[in-house]
Amino acid sequence: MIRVSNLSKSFGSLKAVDNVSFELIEGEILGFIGPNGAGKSTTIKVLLNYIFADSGDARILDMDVVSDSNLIKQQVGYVSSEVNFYPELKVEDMIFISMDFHGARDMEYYHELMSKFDLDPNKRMRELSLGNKKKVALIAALVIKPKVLIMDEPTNGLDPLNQKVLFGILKSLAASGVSVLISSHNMKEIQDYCDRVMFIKQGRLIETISLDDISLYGKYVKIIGDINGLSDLAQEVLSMDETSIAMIYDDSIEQLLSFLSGRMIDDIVIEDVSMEHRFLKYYSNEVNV
Amino acid sequence: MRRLQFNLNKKSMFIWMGVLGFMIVGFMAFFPTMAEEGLQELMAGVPDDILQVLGFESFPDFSKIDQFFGYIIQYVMMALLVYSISLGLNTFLKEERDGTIEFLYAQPITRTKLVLDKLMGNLMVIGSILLVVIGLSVITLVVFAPKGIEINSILIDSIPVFSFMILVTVLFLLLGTGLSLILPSTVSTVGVSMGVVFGPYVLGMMAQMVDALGSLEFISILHTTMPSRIYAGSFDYLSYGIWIGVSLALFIYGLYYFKKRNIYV
Repeated sequence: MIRVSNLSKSFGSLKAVDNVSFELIEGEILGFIGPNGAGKSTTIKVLLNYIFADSGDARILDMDVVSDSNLIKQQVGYVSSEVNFYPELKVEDMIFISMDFHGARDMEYYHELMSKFDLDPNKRMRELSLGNKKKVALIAALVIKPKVLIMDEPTNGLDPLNQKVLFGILKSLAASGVSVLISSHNMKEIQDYCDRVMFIKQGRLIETISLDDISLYGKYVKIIGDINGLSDLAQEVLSMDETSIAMIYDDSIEQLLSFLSGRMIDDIVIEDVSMEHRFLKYYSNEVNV
Repeated sequence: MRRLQFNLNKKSMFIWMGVLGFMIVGFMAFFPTMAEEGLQELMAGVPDDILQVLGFESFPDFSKIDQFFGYIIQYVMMALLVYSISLGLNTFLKEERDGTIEFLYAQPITRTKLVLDKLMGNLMVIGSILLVVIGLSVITLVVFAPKGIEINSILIDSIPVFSFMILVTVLFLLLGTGLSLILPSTVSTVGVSMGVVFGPYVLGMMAQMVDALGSLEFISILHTTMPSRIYAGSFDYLSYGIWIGVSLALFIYGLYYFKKRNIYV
């Protein structure tokens, strides 16, 4: 549904997107992770033809994102990270504009979405909170029944209940063949709902993992106390100082406990590796954790 | 898209309709008094330089309704042009500044069609205002015309005045739209509007006052389409041609540039 090959985009001397390649297949929810400025939004804006790539190729539904942009957008729903709507318009006006552009006529689906997100159609956009504006953006993107959804931080501003509603809808859409590219800072939602996740750092795609395989990535271990020599056991050291270490560990727990026996240990945490740990692995030096 | 653009500007459209309508009706209501009080004699002593600053080769005869109307309608036209170019400039500059343009870019519409549809929406706004301005002008001319005046001939003589008003208003809308496609969203819409409307006007005044600059008068389309001149049958085709050419060229270049540029929202 989306195929990106060797995509690059620079702004002056800054390489915002550097030789990025990935594929989003039918019915897949693909997470896109990276700190601010890593290149997520630039990649998305190239896909939407807001920004022209310097080199590389990007196709959606087997159409070129530049020359066929209009046809692509007919079948793509987009939710931007920041929602800026015309303040004087009503909620229903904004959604109907999106429906008109796409020739969407399913009012039953419109009412269903309005009810699921509990949104008042007669409120003016200027009266809405950030979360409610986000709901309008989500409904405007969903109501057109897209084949591909591109969402840039869609849950930003949404309360947990509506986040759950959104991901419930996304899961059911994915099951019916809709593909979803979702950029987020929320590791929990990425881990719970995505099929695969791409990590981007300084414009480069550094890893793509399947969430089915996340358990294969070992355990997250944090130990406070006598940590001398522990880093030698780690697959990856996430953070370390004189008295504590956080690491990814992929050998047997028995071996670790045996190594620790007889040492002064104040605290120990052992859990499955999560998306957050993967995030910290790649970005801890950038975000000062 | 056209309807959306029209709706987004509906409020300001009604305000401008009210202001311009009030100007026309308010000033024209003074015509009977002006015609009777011999203001012409009073103004006979006004120096030529002052008249030129006001844009006149000689002071209009306020006892004649066409000259009085021509005098007030030039100010209505100036206001109309400021609104028209601001409307054009805000087409994309304001939307980019407010971030609202991102929603439109996500819709299945080409950049060219987006620009043309917005232009059409703005033309509907301008057209509605012009309809009110011209309608009220005709009504007030009929209502306040002195007895014994051949009103039909005044209305026929006013057709070129209204035609130039429409032409110049549309040209300024094109200019504003073209500029909004090229300029960064950080520029001041008010500043650019005032500059484009009054910059050439000041040059036109200087051209009238300084003989050496006389040949530059064509730069000010506000001067070359001034109602008093049009009523007098004085047309400056060079000026009209240049303004039409520049407005169209800027709009077409703006469209080309807009299609090729990155959109940062």
